[in-house]
Amino acid sequence: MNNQPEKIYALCDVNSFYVSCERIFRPDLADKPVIVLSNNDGCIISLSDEAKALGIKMAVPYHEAKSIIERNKVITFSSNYGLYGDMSNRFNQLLRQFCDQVAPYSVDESFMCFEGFKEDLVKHCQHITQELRRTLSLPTCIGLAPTKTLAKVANHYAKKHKKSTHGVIDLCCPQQRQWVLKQIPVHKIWGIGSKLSVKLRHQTINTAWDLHNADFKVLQRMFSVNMERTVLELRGQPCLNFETMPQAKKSILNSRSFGKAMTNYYDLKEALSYHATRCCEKLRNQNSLASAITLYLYAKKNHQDRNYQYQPQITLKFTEATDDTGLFIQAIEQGLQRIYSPNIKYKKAGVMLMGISSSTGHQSDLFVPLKRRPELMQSLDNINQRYGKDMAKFASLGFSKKWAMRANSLSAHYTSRWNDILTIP
Amino acid sequence: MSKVSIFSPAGDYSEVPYYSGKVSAGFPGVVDEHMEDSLSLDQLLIKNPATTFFARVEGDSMINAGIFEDDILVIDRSQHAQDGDIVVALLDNEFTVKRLKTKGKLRLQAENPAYSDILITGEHQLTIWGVVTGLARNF
Repeated sequence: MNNQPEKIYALCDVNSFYVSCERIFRPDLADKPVIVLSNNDGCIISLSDEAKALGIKMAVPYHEAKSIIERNKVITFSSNYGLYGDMSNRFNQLLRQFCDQVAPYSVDESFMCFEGFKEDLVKHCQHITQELRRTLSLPTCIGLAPTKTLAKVANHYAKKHKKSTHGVIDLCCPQQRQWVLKQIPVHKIWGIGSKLSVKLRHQTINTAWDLHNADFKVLQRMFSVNMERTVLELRGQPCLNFETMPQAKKSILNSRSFGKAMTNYYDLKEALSYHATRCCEKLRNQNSLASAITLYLYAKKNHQDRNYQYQPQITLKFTEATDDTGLFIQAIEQGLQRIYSPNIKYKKAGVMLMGISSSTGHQSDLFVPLKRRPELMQSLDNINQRYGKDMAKFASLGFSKKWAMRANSLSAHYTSRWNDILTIP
Repeated sequence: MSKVSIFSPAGDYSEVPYYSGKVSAGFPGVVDEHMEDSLSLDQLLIKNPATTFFARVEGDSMINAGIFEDDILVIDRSQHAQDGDIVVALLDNEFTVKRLKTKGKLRLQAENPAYSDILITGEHQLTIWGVVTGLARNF
Protein backbone atom coordinates (compact mmCIF):
# COMPACT_ATOMS: atom_id res chain seq x y z
CA MET A 1 0.00 0.00 0.00
CA ASN A 2 1.26 3.44 -0.83
CA ASN A 3 1.19 5.55 2.32
CA GLN A 4 2.99 8.51 0.77
CA PRO A 5 1.05 11.66 1.72
CA GLU A 6 -0.12 13.95 -1.09
CA LYS A 7 1.70 16.98 0.34
CA ILE A 8 5.24 16.63 1.60
CA TYR A 9 7.10 19.38 3.42
CA ALA A 10 10.84 19.81 3.26
CA LEU A 11 13.03 21.98 5.44
CA CYS A 12 16.34 22.90 3.85
CA ASP A 13 18.92 24.69 5.95
CA VAL A 14 22.50 25.72 5.46
CA ASN A 15 25.05 24.21 7.86
CA SER A 16 27.01 26.87 9.78
CA PHE A 17 25.56 29.47 7.42
CA TYR A 18 27.74 32.51 8.20
CA VAL A 19 30.93 30.44 8.25
CA SER A 20 29.90 28.77 4.98
CA CYS A 21 29.37 32.21 3.38
CA GLU A 22 32.84 33.31 4.50
CA ARG A 23 34.34 30.16 2.97
CA ILE A 24 32.85 30.68 -0.51
CA PHE A 25 35.53 33.18 -1.50
CA ARG A 26 38.20 31.76 0.80
CA PRO A 27 38.57 28.12 -0.31
CA ASP A 28 41.79 27.97 1.69
CA LEU A 29 39.61 27.89 4.84
CA ALA A 30 37.84 24.67 3.82
CA ASP A 31 39.20 22.43 6.60
CA LYS A 32 40.23 25.08 9.09
CA PRO A 33 38.43 26.10 12.27
CA VAL A 34 36.43 29.26 11.51
CA ILE A 35 34.05 31.36 13.62
CA VAL A 36 31.90 34.43 13.02
CA LEU A 37 31.20 37.03 15.72
CA SER A 38 27.97 38.94 16.32
CA ASN A 39 27.50 42.70 15.99
CA ASN A 40 30.25 44.65 17.68
CA ASP A 41 32.36 41.48 17.78
CA GLY A 42 30.49 40.42 20.92
CA CYS A 43 29.56 36.72 20.79
CA ILE A 44 30.30 33.68 18.68
CA ILE A 45 27.32 33.16 16.38
CA SER A 46 28.54 30.67 13.83
CA LEU A 47 31.14 27.90 14.05
CA SER A 48 32.62 25.43 11.60
CA ASP A 49 32.69 21.77 12.62
CA GLU A 50 36.45 22.10 13.20
CA ALA A 51 35.84 24.96 15.65
CA LYS A 52 33.13 22.94 17.44
CA ALA A 53 35.58 20.03 17.76
CA LEU A 54 37.93 22.33 19.71
CA GLY A 55 35.18 22.74 22.29
CA ILE A 56 34.17 26.27 21.28
CA LYS A 57 30.49 26.84 21.94
CA MET A 58 27.76 28.81 20.22
CA ALA A 59 26.67 32.19 21.73
CA VAL A 60 29.67 32.44 24.05
CA PRO A 61 31.20 35.93 24.43
CA TYR A 62 34.33 36.25 22.32
CA HIS A 63 36.56 37.28 25.23
CA GLU A 64 35.64 34.10 27.14
CA ALA A 65 36.82 31.88 24.30
CA LYS A 66 39.74 34.10 23.32
CA SER A 67 42.48 31.86 24.67
CA ILE A 68 41.27 28.69 22.86
CA ILE A 69 40.78 30.77 19.70
CA GLU A 70 44.28 32.20 19.77
CA ARG A 71 45.97 28.97 20.81
CA ASN A 72 44.38 27.04 17.94
CA LYS A 73 44.65 29.82 15.35
CA VAL A 74 40.90 29.80 14.81
CA ILE A 75 40.06 32.14 11.92
CA THR A 76 37.69 34.81 13.17
CA PHE A 77 35.34 37.05 11.19
CA SER A 78 33.13 39.97 12.15
CA SER A 79 29.64 39.53 10.76
CA ASN A 80 29.27 40.64 7.14
CA TYR A 81 25.48 40.90 6.86
CA GLY A 82 25.64 42.28 3.32
CA LEU A 83 27.25 39.07 2.14
CA TYR A 84 24.98 36.79 4.19
CA GLY A 85 21.85 38.55 2.94
CA ASP A 86 22.95 38.22 -0.67
CA MET A 87 23.76 34.52 -0.27
CA SER A 88 20.44 33.97 1.48
CA ASN A 89 18.62 35.44 -1.55
CA ARG A 90 20.59 33.26 -3.92
CA PHE A 91 19.84 30.20 -1.77
CA ASN A 92 16.08 30.83 -2.05
CA GLN A 93 16.27 31.62 -5.76
CA LEU A 94 17.99 28.30 -6.32
CA LEU A 95 15.42 26.38 -4.25
CA ARG A 96 12.68 27.92 -6.42
CA GLN A 97 14.30 26.27 -9.43
CA PHE A 98 13.61 22.89 -7.84
CA CYS A 99 10.29 23.50 -6.11
CA ASP A 100 7.48 25.91 -6.96
CA GLN A 101 6.42 26.44 -3.32
CA VAL A 102 9.24 27.89 -1.23
CA ALA A 103 8.70 29.71 2.06
CA PRO A 104 11.82 31.31 3.55
CA TYR A 105 11.73 30.84 7.32
CA SER A 106 14.94 32.53 8.39
CA VAL A 107 18.14 33.78 6.79
CA ASP A 108 19.49 30.23 6.41
CA GLU A 109 16.46 27.95 6.28
CA SER A 110 13.45 27.60 4.03
CA PHE A 111 10.46 25.31 3.83
CA MET A 112 9.44 23.75 0.56
CA CYS A 113 6.15 22.03 -0.20
CA PHE A 114 5.94 19.27 -2.78
CA GLU A 115 2.45 18.38 -3.97
CA GLY A 116 1.72 15.22 -5.92
CA PHE A 117 5.42 14.65 -6.58
CA LYS A 118 5.65 11.39 -8.51
CA GLU A 119 9.38 10.70 -8.57
CA ASP A 120 11.74 9.72 -5.77
CA LEU A 121 11.69 12.78 -3.51
CA VAL A 122 14.76 11.76 -1.51
CA LYS A 123 16.75 11.56 -4.72
CA HIS A 124 15.39 14.94 -5.82
CA CYS A 125 16.44 16.51 -2.51
CA GLN A 126 19.88 14.92 -2.69
CA HIS A 127 20.20 16.56 -6.09
CA ILE A 128 19.18 19.92 -4.52
CA THR A 129 21.85 19.66 -1.82
CA GLN A 130 24.47 18.72 -4.45
CA GLU A 131 23.52 21.67 -6.63
CA LEU A 132 23.59 24.09 -3.68
CA ARG A 133 27.08 22.90 -2.92
CA ARG A 134 28.28 22.97 -6.54
CA THR A 135 26.81 26.31 -7.61
CA LEU A 136 26.83 28.32 -4.34
CA SER A 137 29.33 26.38 -2.19
CA LEU A 138 26.65 26.05 0.48
CA PRO A 139 26.51 22.81 2.49
CA THR A 140 22.89 21.99 3.34
CA CYS A 141 20.66 19.35 4.94
CA ILE A 142 17.05 18.58 4.04
CA GLY A 143 14.39 16.95 6.20
CA LEU A 144 11.24 15.56 4.52
CA ALA A 145 7.99 14.83 6.32
CA PRO A 146 4.20 15.16 6.09
CA THR A 147 4.19 18.22 8.43
CA LYS A 148 6.41 21.25 8.98
CA THR A 149 7.18 20.31 12.60
CA LEU A 150 8.30 16.83 11.52
CA ALA A 151 10.32 18.33 8.65
CA LYS A 152 12.16 20.41 11.28
CA VAL A 153 12.82 17.26 13.33
CA ALA A 154 14.01 15.43 10.21
CA ASN A 155 16.35 18.27 9.31
CA HIS A 156 17.79 18.30 12.82
CA TYR A 157 18.42 14.54 12.59
CA ALA A 158 19.99 14.79 9.13
CA LYS A 159 22.36 17.48 10.42
CA LYS A 160 23.41 15.43 13.43
CA HIS A 161 23.95 12.32 11.26
CA LYS A 162 25.38 13.77 8.05
CA LYS A 163 27.39 10.63 7.32
CA SER A 164 24.59 8.07 7.52
CA THR A 165 21.90 10.28 5.95
CA HIS A 166 24.04 12.08 3.33
CA GLY A 167 22.22 15.22 4.42
CA VAL A 168 18.69 14.07 3.46
CA ILE A 169 16.17 12.09 5.47
CA ASP A 170 12.50 11.28 4.84
CA LEU A 171 10.20 10.79 7.83
CA CYS A 172 7.06 9.95 5.84
CA CYS A 173 7.39 6.29 6.80
CA PRO A 174 5.94 5.72 10.33
CA GLN A 175 8.60 3.18 11.38
CA GLN A 176 11.42 5.50 10.44
CA ARG A 177 9.61 8.37 12.21
CA GLN A 178 9.27 6.40 15.46
CA TRP A 179 12.95 5.48 15.38
CA VAL A 180 13.99 9.12 14.97
CA LEU A 181 11.47 10.70 17.39
CA LYS A 182 12.71 8.41 20.17
CA GLN A 183 16.18 9.93 19.81
CA ILE A 184 15.13 13.59 19.81
CA PRO A 185 14.97 15.31 23.22
CA VAL A 186 11.74 17.25 23.66
CA HIS A 187 13.40 20.69 23.83
CA LYS A 188 14.69 20.25 20.28
CA ILE A 189 11.17 20.27 18.86
CA TRP A 190 10.12 23.39 17.00
CA GLY A 191 8.15 25.69 19.32
CA ILE A 192 9.14 23.89 22.53
CA GLY A 193 11.63 26.11 24.30
CA SER A 194 13.69 25.23 27.33
CA LYS A 195 10.97 26.67 29.61
CA LEU A 196 8.21 24.48 28.20
CA SER A 197 10.46 21.44 28.12
CA VAL A 198 11.02 21.69 31.88
CA LYS A 199 7.26 21.59 32.43
CA LEU A 200 6.92 18.70 29.98
CA ARG A 201 9.62 16.75 31.78
CA HIS A 202 7.50 17.03 34.94
CA GLN A 203 4.86 15.12 32.97
CA THR A 204 7.58 12.53 32.13
CA ILE A 205 7.63 13.73 28.55
CA ASN A 206 11.31 13.61 27.69
CA THR A 207 11.57 12.77 24.01
CA ALA A 208 9.75 13.79 20.86
CA TRP A 209 8.23 10.28 20.87
CA ASP A 210 6.81 10.83 24.41
CA LEU A 211 5.18 14.04 23.20
CA HIS A 212 3.87 12.27 20.09
CA ASN A 213 2.10 9.77 22.38
CA ALA A 214 0.82 12.29 24.91
CA ASP A 215 -2.88 13.09 25.36
CA PHE A 216 -3.12 16.36 23.46
CA LYS A 217 -6.43 17.32 25.07
CA VAL A 218 -4.79 17.23 28.50
CA LEU A 219 -1.77 19.14 27.22
CA GLN A 220 -3.96 21.73 25.55
CA ARG A 221 -5.61 22.50 28.90
CA MET A 222 -2.23 22.70 30.64
CA PHE A 223 -0.47 24.71 27.98
CA SER A 224 -2.16 26.16 24.91
CA VAL A 225 -3.64 25.29 21.59
CA ASN A 226 -0.14 25.55 20.13
CA MET A 227 0.92 22.49 22.14
CA GLU A 228 -2.03 20.53 20.74
CA ARG A 229 -0.95 21.54 17.23
CA THR A 230 2.61 20.43 17.91
CA VAL A 231 1.41 16.98 19.05
CA LEU A 232 -0.82 16.59 15.99
CA GLU A 233 1.98 17.73 13.71
CA LEU A 234 4.30 15.14 15.29
CA ARG A 235 1.64 12.53 14.45
CA GLY A 236 1.71 13.61 10.82
CA GLN A 237 -1.39 15.81 10.70
CA PRO A 238 -0.52 19.21 9.20
CA CYS A 239 -1.84 22.11 11.32
CA LEU A 240 0.47 24.95 10.31
CA ASN A 241 -0.03 27.21 7.31
CA PHE A 242 2.43 27.36 4.50
CA GLU A 243 3.18 31.02 3.79
CA THR A 244 5.22 31.61 0.69
CA MET A 245 4.84 35.37 1.02
CA PRO A 246 6.37 37.00 4.09
CA GLN A 247 3.77 38.89 6.13
CA ALA A 248 4.20 42.65 6.22
CA LYS A 249 5.79 43.48 9.56
CA LYS A 250 3.63 45.13 12.24
CA SER A 251 6.56 47.07 13.65
CA ILE A 252 9.98 47.79 12.26
CA LEU A 253 13.02 47.96 14.47
CA ASN A 254 16.63 48.89 13.97
CA SER A 255 19.17 49.16 16.77
CA ARG A 256 22.85 48.63 17.44
CA SER A 257 25.31 48.75 20.25
CA PHE A 258 27.94 51.45 19.91
CA GLY A 259 31.58 50.62 19.27
CA LYS A 260 32.41 52.74 22.31
CA ALA A 261 30.17 54.56 24.78
CA MET A 262 28.68 57.85 23.50
CA THR A 263 27.77 60.94 25.51
CA ASN A 264 27.47 63.65 22.87
CA TYR A 265 23.98 64.75 21.76
CA TYR A 266 24.98 65.09 18.09
CA ASP A 267 26.58 61.64 17.97
CA LEU A 268 23.39 60.14 19.35
CA LYS A 269 21.31 62.09 16.84
CA GLU A 270 23.47 60.71 14.05
CA ALA A 271 23.07 57.14 15.24
CA LEU A 272 19.30 57.47 15.66
CA SER A 273 18.99 59.11 12.23
CA TYR A 274 20.88 56.20 10.74
CA HIS A 275 18.48 53.70 12.34
CA ALA A 276 15.46 55.71 11.20
CA THR A 277 16.84 55.72 7.65
CA ARG A 278 17.19 51.92 7.68
CA CYS A 279 13.69 51.50 9.16
CA CYS A 280 12.17 53.78 6.51
CA GLU A 281 13.84 51.78 3.74
CA LYS A 282 12.31 48.59 5.13
CA LEU A 283 8.98 50.40 5.49
CA ARG A 284 8.93 51.55 1.86
CA ASN A 285 10.19 48.20 0.70
CA GLN A 286 7.07 46.52 2.08
CA ASN A 287 4.85 49.38 0.77
CA SER A 288 3.81 50.50 4.23
CA LEU A 289 3.40 53.72 6.16
CA ALA A 290 4.02 54.28 9.87
CA SER A 291 2.24 56.67 12.20
CA ALA A 292 4.56 56.60 15.22
CA ILE A 293 8.23 56.34 16.06
CA THR A 294 9.84 55.27 19.32
CA LEU A 295 13.42 56.17 20.04
CA TYR A 296 15.30 54.63 22.86
CA LEU A 297 18.73 54.85 24.39
CA TYR A 298 20.41 52.43 26.68
CA ALA A 299 23.08 53.13 29.25
CA LYS A 300 24.39 50.27 31.29
CA LYS A 301 26.45 50.67 34.38
CA ASN A 302 26.76 54.14 35.75
CA HIS A 303 30.00 54.74 37.62
CA GLN A 304 28.23 55.56 40.91
CA ASP A 305 25.98 52.53 40.94
CA ARG A 306 27.18 49.49 39.06
CA ASN A 307 23.76 47.91 38.63
CA TYR A 308 22.00 51.02 37.51
CA GLN A 309 20.36 50.72 34.12
CA TYR A 310 19.12 53.76 32.32
CA GLN A 311 16.78 53.27 29.38
CA PRO A 312 15.09 56.50 28.40
CA GLN A 313 12.61 56.24 25.54
CA ILE A 314 9.96 58.36 23.91
CA THR A 315 7.20 57.71 21.40
CA LEU A 316 6.15 60.38 18.95
CA LYS A 317 2.95 60.13 16.97
CA PHE A 318 2.26 61.68 13.60
CA THR A 319 -1.06 63.21 12.67
CA GLU A 320 -0.90 61.23 9.45
CA ALA A 321 0.96 58.04 8.54
CA THR A 322 4.06 58.56 6.42
CA ASP A 323 7.11 56.86 4.93
CA ASP A 324 9.16 60.04 4.58
CA THR A 325 12.62 59.65 6.14
CA GLY A 326 12.86 63.43 6.60
CA LEU A 327 9.83 63.54 8.87
CA PHE A 328 11.14 60.74 11.06
CA ILE A 329 14.47 62.53 11.38
CA GLN A 330 12.65 65.70 12.46
CA ALA A 331 10.80 63.63 15.03
CA ILE A 332 14.09 62.25 16.31
CA GLU A 333 15.40 65.76 16.96
CA GLN A 334 12.29 66.68 18.92
CA GLY A 335 12.30 63.42 20.85
CA LEU A 336 15.98 63.28 21.62
CA GLN A 337 15.91 66.82 23.05
CA ARG A 338 13.39 65.59 25.62
CA ILE A 339 15.08 62.36 26.68
CA TYR A 340 18.74 63.30 26.37
CA SER A 341 20.70 63.97 29.50
CA PRO A 342 24.38 64.83 29.33
CA ASN A 343 27.15 63.02 31.22
CA ILE A 344 25.67 59.58 30.66
CA LYS A 345 27.61 56.98 28.76
CA TYR A 346 25.15 55.52 26.30
CA LYS A 347 25.89 52.04 24.97
CA LYS A 348 23.12 51.54 22.49
CA ALA A 349 20.44 53.38 20.51
CA GLY A 350 17.48 52.19 18.52
CA VAL A 351 14.42 53.22 16.60
CA MET A 352 11.10 51.47 16.19
CA LEU A 353 8.35 52.42 13.74
CA MET A 354 4.80 51.52 14.72
CA GLY A 355 1.23 51.97 13.57
CA ILE A 356 2.13 50.30 10.30
CA SER A 357 -0.43 50.39 7.51
CA SER A 358 -0.38 49.69 3.80
CA SER A 359 0.54 52.64 1.58
CA THR A 360 -1.47 51.32 -1.35
CA GLY A 361 -4.89 51.62 0.22
CA HIS A 362 -4.00 54.79 2.07
CA GLN A 363 -6.59 57.57 1.98
CA SER A 364 -5.08 60.95 2.61
CA ASP A 365 -7.04 63.72 4.22
CA LEU A 366 -8.02 66.28 1.62
CA PHE A 367 -7.67 69.16 4.03
CA VAL A 368 -4.30 68.25 5.47
CA PRO A 369 -1.30 68.95 3.27
CA LEU A 370 0.25 65.66 2.19
CA LYS A 371 3.07 64.73 4.53
CA ARG A 372 4.82 62.44 2.15
CA ARG A 373 7.14 62.99 -0.74
CA PRO A 374 6.89 59.66 -2.54
CA GLU A 375 8.87 60.75 -5.61
CA LEU A 376 11.73 62.07 -3.50
CA MET A 377 11.82 58.86 -1.43
CA GLN A 378 11.64 56.76 -4.57
CA SER A 379 14.61 58.61 -6.09
CA LEU A 380 16.54 58.25 -2.85
CA ASP A 381 15.93 54.49 -2.78
CA ASN A 382 16.83 54.17 -6.47
CA ILE A 383 20.12 56.02 -6.07
CA ASN A 384 21.10 53.99 -3.02
CA GLN A 385 20.16 50.68 -4.60
CA ARG A 386 22.19 51.54 -7.63
CA TYR A 387 25.26 53.23 -6.20
CA GLY A 388 25.44 51.79 -2.70
CA LYS A 389 24.07 52.33 0.76
CA ASP A 390 23.78 55.97 1.85
CA MET A 391 25.23 57.45 -1.35
CA ALA A 392 22.34 59.89 -1.06
CA LYS A 393 21.21 60.61 2.48
CA PHE A 394 19.90 63.19 4.89
CA ALA A 395 22.64 65.34 6.37
CA SER A 396 21.55 64.39 9.91
CA LEU A 397 23.22 61.03 9.39
CA GLY A 398 26.50 62.89 9.54
CA PHE A 399 29.77 61.72 8.12
CA SER A 400 31.77 60.68 11.17
CA LYS A 401 29.99 57.49 12.23
CA LYS A 402 31.74 57.72 15.60
CA TRP A 403 29.15 55.36 16.97
CA ALA A 404 29.92 52.60 14.47
CA MET A 405 30.40 49.11 15.77
CA ARG A 406 33.61 47.26 16.20
CA ALA A 407 34.07 45.00 13.20
CA ASN A 408 37.76 44.36 13.29
CA SER A 409 37.77 41.25 11.14
CA LEU A 410 35.22 42.10 8.47
CA SER A 411 35.59 40.20 5.20
CA ALA A 412 35.17 41.82 1.78
CA HIS A 413 31.76 42.63 0.33
CA TYR A 414 32.43 40.15 -2.47
CA THR A 415 28.95 40.35 -3.97
CA SER A 416 27.90 43.92 -3.30
CA ARG A 417 30.86 46.28 -3.91
CA TRP A 418 32.87 46.49 -7.12
CA ASN A 419 36.05 47.31 -5.23
CA ASP A 420 35.63 44.18 -3.13
CA ILE A 421 35.06 41.49 -5.75
CA LEU A 422 37.33 38.50 -5.95
CA THR A 423 40.56 38.85 -7.95
CA ILE A 424 41.66 35.84 -9.95
CA PRO A 425 45.12 35.32 -11.43
CA MET B 1 10.81 55.11 32.19
CA SER B 2 8.52 55.53 29.23
CA LYS B 3 6.98 58.74 27.98
CA VAL B 4 4.48 59.24 25.22
CA SER B 5 3.84 62.55 23.61
CA ILE B 6 2.03 63.74 20.53
CA PHE B 7 4.14 65.02 17.74
CA SER B 8 2.85 66.79 14.71
CA PRO B 9 5.36 67.62 12.07
CA ALA B 10 5.86 71.35 11.99
CA GLY B 11 8.16 73.49 9.96
CA ASP B 12 8.67 73.85 6.25
CA TYR B 13 7.19 70.59 5.07
CA SER B 14 3.69 71.03 6.36
CA GLU B 15 3.41 74.50 4.91
CA VAL B 16 4.28 73.44 1.39
CA PRO B 17 1.55 71.20 0.06
CA TYR B 18 2.99 68.44 -2.04
CA TYR B 19 0.94 66.93 -4.81
CA SER B 20 1.85 63.63 -6.33
CA GLY B 21 -1.04 63.42 -8.78
CA LYS B 22 -0.23 62.88 -12.44
CA VAL B 23 -0.54 65.81 -14.82
CA SER B 24 -1.88 64.82 -18.22
CA ALA B 25 -1.25 66.66 -21.44
CA GLY B 26 -1.54 65.72 -25.09
CA PHE B 27 -2.73 62.25 -26.00
CA PRO B 28 -2.14 60.03 -22.99
CA GLY B 29 -1.68 56.34 -23.32
CA VAL B 30 -0.33 56.08 -26.84
CA VAL B 31 3.28 55.92 -25.75
CA ASP B 32 2.54 54.01 -22.53
CA GLU B 33 0.96 51.15 -24.44
CA HIS B 34 4.05 50.70 -26.55
CA MET B 35 6.59 50.94 -23.75
CA GLU B 36 9.26 48.29 -23.71
CA ASP B 37 11.97 47.70 -21.15
CA SER B 38 15.26 49.45 -21.91
CA LEU B 39 18.14 47.24 -22.91
CA SER B 40 20.09 46.00 -19.94
CA LEU B 41 23.61 44.60 -19.87
CA ASP B 42 22.61 42.37 -16.98
CA GLN B 43 20.10 40.70 -19.24
CA LEU B 44 22.73 40.25 -21.94
CA LEU B 45 25.49 38.90 -19.71
CA ILE B 46 23.63 37.03 -16.96
CA LYS B 47 21.51 33.99 -17.66
CA ASN B 48 21.18 32.71 -14.13
CA PRO B 49 21.48 35.55 -11.57
CA ALA B 50 21.33 33.26 -8.51
CA THR B 51 24.52 31.46 -9.47
CA THR B 52 26.41 34.25 -11.26
CA PHE B 53 29.39 35.95 -9.60
CA PHE B 54 31.89 38.58 -10.73
CA ALA B 55 35.65 38.59 -10.33
CA ARG B 56 38.47 40.85 -11.43
CA VAL B 57 41.33 39.50 -13.56
CA GLU B 58 44.87 39.77 -12.31
CA GLY B 59 47.80 39.15 -14.66
CA ASP B 60 48.18 38.42 -18.37
CA SER B 61 47.80 34.65 -18.69
CA MET B 62 44.61 34.92 -20.80
CA ILE B 63 45.41 37.85 -23.10
CA ASN B 64 45.06 35.81 -26.32
CA ALA B 65 41.50 35.03 -25.36
CA GLY B 66 40.90 38.79 -25.08
CA ILE B 67 40.94 38.75 -21.28
CA PHE B 68 43.15 41.46 -19.84
CA GLU B 69 44.22 42.61 -16.41
CA ASP B 70 41.39 44.32 -14.47
CA ASP B 71 38.67 42.94 -16.74
CA ILE B 72 35.59 41.72 -14.92
CA LEU B 73 34.70 38.09 -15.43
CA VAL B 74 31.08 37.00 -15.42
CA ILE B 75 31.09 33.52 -13.91
CA ASP B 76 28.05 31.25 -14.02
CA ARG B 77 28.48 28.48 -11.50
CA SER B 78 25.42 26.55 -12.68
CA GLN B 79 26.99 25.71 -16.07
CA HIS B 80 28.72 22.37 -16.46
CA ALA B 81 32.18 22.94 -17.88
CA GLN B 82 32.98 21.38 -21.26
CA ASP B 83 36.23 20.89 -23.10
CA GLY B 84 37.42 24.29 -24.36
CA ASP B 85 35.44 26.41 -21.89
CA ILE B 86 37.15 29.23 -20.05
CA VAL B 87 36.71 28.36 -16.40
CA VAL B 88 37.44 29.63 -12.95
CA ALA B 89 39.03 26.66 -11.26
CA LEU B 90 40.24 25.89 -7.79
CA LEU B 91 43.65 24.33 -8.15
CA ASP B 92 44.82 23.09 -4.76
CA ASN B 93 42.42 25.56 -3.13
CA GLU B 94 43.63 28.56 -5.15
CA PHE B 95 41.61 30.42 -7.73
CA THR B 96 42.79 30.57 -11.32
CA VAL B 97 41.20 31.45 -14.67
CA LYS B 98 42.25 29.21 -17.59
CA ARG B 99 40.89 27.27 -20.54
CA LEU B 100 39.82 23.76 -19.59
CA LYS B 101 41.01 20.90 -21.80
CA THR B 102 39.47 17.51 -21.15
CA LYS B 103 40.28 15.78 -24.45
CA GLY B 104 43.60 14.05 -24.24
CA LYS B 105 45.31 14.79 -20.96
CA LEU B 106 43.27 16.82 -18.48
CA ARG B 107 44.87 20.25 -18.31
CA LEU B 108 44.40 23.95 -17.74
CA GLN B 109 45.66 26.01 -20.62
CA ALA B 110 46.76 29.63 -20.48
CA GLU B 111 46.06 31.89 -23.46
CA ASN B 112 49.55 33.34 -23.53
CA PRO B 113 52.58 31.48 -24.97
CA ALA B 114 54.66 32.67 -22.01
CA TYR B 115 52.75 30.25 -19.76
CA SER B 116 52.88 26.48 -20.11
CA ASP B 117 49.88 24.19 -19.64
CA ILE B 118 49.13 22.92 -16.16
CA LEU B 119 48.76 19.16 -16.38
CA ILE B 120 46.36 17.82 -13.81
CA THR B 121 47.89 14.80 -12.17
CA GLY B 122 46.96 12.79 -9.14
CA GLU B 123 48.92 15.20 -6.96
CA HIS B 124 46.65 18.10 -7.87
CA GLN B 125 43.24 18.79 -6.50
CA LEU B 126 41.10 20.40 -9.17
CA THR B 127 37.57 21.75 -8.74
CA ILE B 128 35.75 23.69 -11.43
CA TRP B 129 34.31 26.67 -9.55
CA GLY B 130 32.38 28.13 -12.49
CA VAL B 131 32.31 28.76 -16.21
CA VAL B 132 33.27 32.20 -17.52
CA THR B 133 30.28 33.22 -19.65
CA GLY B 134 31.02 36.88 -20.22
CA LEU B 135 33.36 39.78 -19.73
CA ALA B 136 32.94 43.43 -18.80
CA ARG B 137 35.45 46.22 -19.23
CA ASN B 138 35.52 49.94 -18.61
CA PHE B 139 37.82 52.07 -20.72
